[in-house]
Amino acid sequence: MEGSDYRLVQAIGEGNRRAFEKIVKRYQKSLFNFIYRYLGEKAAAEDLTQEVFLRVFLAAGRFEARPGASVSTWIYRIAYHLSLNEIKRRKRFLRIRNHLEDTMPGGGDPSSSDLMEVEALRQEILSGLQLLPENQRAALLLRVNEELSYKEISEVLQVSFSSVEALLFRARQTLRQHIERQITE
Amino acid sequence: MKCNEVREKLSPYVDKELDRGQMERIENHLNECPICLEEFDRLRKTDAFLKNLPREDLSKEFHKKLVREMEAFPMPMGKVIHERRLVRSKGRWMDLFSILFLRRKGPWTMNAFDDFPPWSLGHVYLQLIDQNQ
Repeated sequence: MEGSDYRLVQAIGEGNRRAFEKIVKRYQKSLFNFIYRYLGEKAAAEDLTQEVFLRVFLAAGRFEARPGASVSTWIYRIAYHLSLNEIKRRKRFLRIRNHLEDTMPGGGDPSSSDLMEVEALRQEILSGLQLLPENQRAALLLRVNEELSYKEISEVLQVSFSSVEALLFRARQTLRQHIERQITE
Repeated sequence: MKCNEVREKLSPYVDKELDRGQMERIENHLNECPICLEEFDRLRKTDAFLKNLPREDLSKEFHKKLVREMEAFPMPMGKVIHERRLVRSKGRWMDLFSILFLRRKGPWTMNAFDDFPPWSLGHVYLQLIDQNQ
């Protein structure tokens, strides 16, 4: 799988569009879901997924197979950095908006009370994810949902192996507490 | 192993990222300690909640939009194509940019500026300094 990924990326670098389509088909769903859960918003996640593939398309000619460097970690690294930038951009935007609207009362989502119990729990998990610091959230999603190893996660996030362990430990603690709180309430 | 040591390692234990000795020590502890076992179950349940989130599909327009974006993008792919297009379009700035900054090797990458200022100039400078001293 990984070997053929590398051949596909080489082919993309040589201008092969069919190879690009194969890479898109292979990664689109998992990438989209990773970004969606990371950002918590579908439309933005779809735009960013597209952006990731465009970057893959443009940078494929420069991808180099090094020991420990795989196509999947390279693609997830692009996705992680783009998502992180998007979060920073949103935070700046939110600061400005909050400043402008600080006299207005904060409203909840009126439709949430109508949600089915399971759907409500899903939403709670998604909102719990958003409570985690960005690097913890990315580590947890890459591990649990994308099933990357600690070594691969350390390459995506560009942190040490032991940092990955610590990030996952804290992320799981926080998310567990959040879910348990929601269930008991 | 003490309970607090085990709990700190439960996360990599769930992920099977510990060496065999550590895995066995934690397993033995979990067989004997119901409190840590409960902690382990809670951790696994949290993962299960996350894992069971439904995988969403991209919209039907995603591929059309992606193809449209690619076609609208002026940047060509691959180094051979870069060079051919540069010859054809004679100085399109995007092509020039891609050759200068996006290619890893070649006469016109940033590597060409590695020796700047050139060593030869540096030697002249050092000789002048020597003469002045």
